[in-house]
Amino acid sequence: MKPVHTGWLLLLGATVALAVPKADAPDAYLNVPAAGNIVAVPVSTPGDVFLPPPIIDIPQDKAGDMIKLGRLIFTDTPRYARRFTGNALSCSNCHLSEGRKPGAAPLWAAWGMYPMPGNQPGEVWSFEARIQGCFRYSQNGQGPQLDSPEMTALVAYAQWLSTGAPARTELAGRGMFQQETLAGGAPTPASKPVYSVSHGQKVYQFQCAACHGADGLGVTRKDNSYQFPPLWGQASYGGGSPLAQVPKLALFVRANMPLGRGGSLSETDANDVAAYILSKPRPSDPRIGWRQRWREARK
Amino acid sequence: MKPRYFAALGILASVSAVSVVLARDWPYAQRPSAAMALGDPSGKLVDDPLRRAGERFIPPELNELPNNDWGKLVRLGRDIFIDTPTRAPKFAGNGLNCSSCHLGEGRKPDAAPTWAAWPMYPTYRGKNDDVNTFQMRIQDCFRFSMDGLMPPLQSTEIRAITAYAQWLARGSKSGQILPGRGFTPIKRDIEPSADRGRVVYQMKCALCHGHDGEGVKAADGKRYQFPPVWGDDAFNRGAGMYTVRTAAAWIKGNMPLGRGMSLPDQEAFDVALYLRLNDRPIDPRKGLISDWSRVMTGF
Repeated sequence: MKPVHTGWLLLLGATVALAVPKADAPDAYLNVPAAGNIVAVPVSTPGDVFLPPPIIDIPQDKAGDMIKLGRLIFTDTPRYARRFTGNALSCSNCHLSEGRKPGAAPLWAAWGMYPMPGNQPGEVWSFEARIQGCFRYSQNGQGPQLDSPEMTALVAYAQWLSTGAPARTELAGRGMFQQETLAGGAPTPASKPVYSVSHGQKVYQFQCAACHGADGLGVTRKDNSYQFPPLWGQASYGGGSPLAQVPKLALFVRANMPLGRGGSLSETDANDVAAYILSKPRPSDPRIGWRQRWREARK
Repeated sequence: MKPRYFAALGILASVSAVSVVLARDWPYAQRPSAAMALGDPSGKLVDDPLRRAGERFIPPELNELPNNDWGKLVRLGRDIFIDTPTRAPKFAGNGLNCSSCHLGEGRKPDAAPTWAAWPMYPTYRGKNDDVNTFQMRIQDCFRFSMDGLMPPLQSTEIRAITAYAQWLARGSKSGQILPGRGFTPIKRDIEPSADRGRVVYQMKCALCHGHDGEGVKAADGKRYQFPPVWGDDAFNRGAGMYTVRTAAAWIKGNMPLGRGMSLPDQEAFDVALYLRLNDRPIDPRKGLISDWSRVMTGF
């Protein structure tokens, strides 16, 4: 067979695989997606979403030094905020592209919205308290003190990243999912979501395992720092993290994963892979003691 | 030499001596009533409205606040801002409110409005040679201008005032220098005179602030209707207002109340120096002895 025939056949096969509904052919996602399926989520598109300043704009003074320190902490937390972290994750493992990417909880969209009402009655979250929550739950460590240089640096970085962003204004791309920036569209509210962990395992093996590892423990570099973050295990985020809830993790996965192909997973796949990831062991919620965990496990 | 020449020389010398004495502080020391009329004609009143669309940033109205937890916190912040000794008695040390300097409840341009300050923080401050968050800046206000104690960063007072300032700045762009920020520009190369300053004070300021700088109490006998400008209930020697040029810029833009920008730069500097030379609480960063030497030398 000549090579040109092979190419045409592959293209035909990909077309057929894409045309078949996934409900009828549950193994359709086993095919590697064709190039046309890749959805580009712009990190910086003027007029479309807010455009944070480039890092070359960081001022060359002491305030700029603090901003640079904040960026280093943000992108390499286990190294630069070592005394406060408890696992291998950096801030930028969830807040992708150094906190810039829309749909991945960008800092520039969050900065202006705080202080905001919290979950408990009478509770108001400040931006600093939110950062402390990230350290405590998602990084399984301790919240930096409010007057620590780590906290000041992170706040300075967030404030600088939102240079020009209006205060107390809802910006497009805020939070974990934005229909405007995704080809997948808004998530359809499922009346009664039923998660299939086994289906999620399949999705994981074919879509996620290449980077995060078949065992979900991430990929390390030579110096034991993580190139791709662990998704479960003791080096991953704890049970108190927002991403330890299946709906929120599904939103994050759907908007951002696989890396660079956000919006390519279907809602069912995202839900199931989230359920699969969260069925694995991870550090516990520090707010819940072993007695309550044991009681809940028996239910 | 004939005696009449001596007489002529004596007359000449006495006239010149008298004229030198007269010219020393002319026109203020000798004929203040002729130099400055107490009541300027109404046409000279300077109109500096708080809300002038297009020229100044317009902070939101109080009735735009929602009635949720966040809105209550913002209202508490406003209450503390305009009635600090009553609402924050643990931390306020004198008779001043935040709004004694940040006029118009922190809204007035050229009186360090909080809506113009919020987008600039965290920032580097030469006062303590460090990058400070907005909350740390508020702490310094309490420590120096209110001669009190620093509220802890997680205290309700700090959180409320921060929420109030951030709400006033809603819609302002992060990192943007807004017109009306800080104090109005004032000349640097001015030699102030405390003698002239005393006269200007007695003529233009004493009506409200008292002839001995003691302020005017409200009807309840506790709160101040017009704040003291020196003495035990005024700002201490570590405050920004203790710096002559800073105080002069504030006075030029805002005093006499409602007639901002009516004093020439020279008179603003004179009054500022006169205020500085009066007695007030010591700088808490310094010991009593080192600050006493500052008192004795005048600077």
